[in-house]
Amino acid sequence: MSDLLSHHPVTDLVPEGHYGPDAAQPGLTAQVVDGLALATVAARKGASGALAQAVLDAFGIALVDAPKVSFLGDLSFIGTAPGRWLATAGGAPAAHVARLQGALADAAALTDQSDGSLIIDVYGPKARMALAKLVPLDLHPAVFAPGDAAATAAALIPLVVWQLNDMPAYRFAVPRSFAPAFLRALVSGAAEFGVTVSGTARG
Amino acid sequence: MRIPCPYCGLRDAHEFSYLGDAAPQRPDPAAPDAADAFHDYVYLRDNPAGPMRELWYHGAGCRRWLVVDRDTRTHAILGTAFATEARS
Ligand SMILES: [Zn+2]
Repeated sequence: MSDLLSHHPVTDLVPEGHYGPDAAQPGLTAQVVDGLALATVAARKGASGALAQAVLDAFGIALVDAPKVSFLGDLSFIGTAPGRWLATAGGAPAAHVARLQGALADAAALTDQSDGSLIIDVYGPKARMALAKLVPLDLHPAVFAPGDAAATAAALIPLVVWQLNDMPAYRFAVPRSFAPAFLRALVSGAAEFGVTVSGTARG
Repeated sequence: MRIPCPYCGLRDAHEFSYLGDAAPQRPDPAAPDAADAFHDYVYLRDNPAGPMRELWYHGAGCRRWLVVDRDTRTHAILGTAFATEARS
């Protein structure tokens, strides 16, 4: 299916549109999500307990130190490593970081990552089958379910992925400069199921 | 081959980098026999057929160093731990 993309520049995001069969009922959709702010949260040495308490006090979230999503409303903490999370929220990056800084600065190091990663949601009835060709994780619902997260690599691209619901829908944080390659790999593998790309510029 | 990371869970070996034997400890550079001790530390390695404690780096996952107990004959993984805990 790579011939589908052969006339698109490899450095550009895959253009909006449908690739493969069943445009009326796509097997899956890949949607670039705008307007999500990102920051890494790393517990300071010996401050894991203080950080968990601060997150609970300030945001009402029971922070889990595991590859899981801890969230309330639109604020989510995605576990990426022991004592490390990717914190996501809607709105402006500066407000997101300021909000985290105000509550957590004593217990954690915070770094704005909003312009470092592109957020891509992949969802639909065939999303799991398509991602099985790309993501080196066992995505069977008995193993990877809504609220589970993983820092891993797909097509040699380091990324963070977490499951939003059992549609299923998955959310990817992909290093921004690798996003064109990620989308090409995804669309090439998913075209047999019919994949709709949205949120990227038109070709 | 898959390696059960204590944080990430069961992951493909391609996510990890291999360093080797986890046993050697850096010698004291101020000791009188430091030159000999460093020679052994740098060059001498056992090559067991069977269980071995090894250092692996989970570079594509949590980016932590692990100590992995692996049977070199079968690649069976007998256990894993964070290196900070297993070597402290
Ligand atoms: Zn790991």
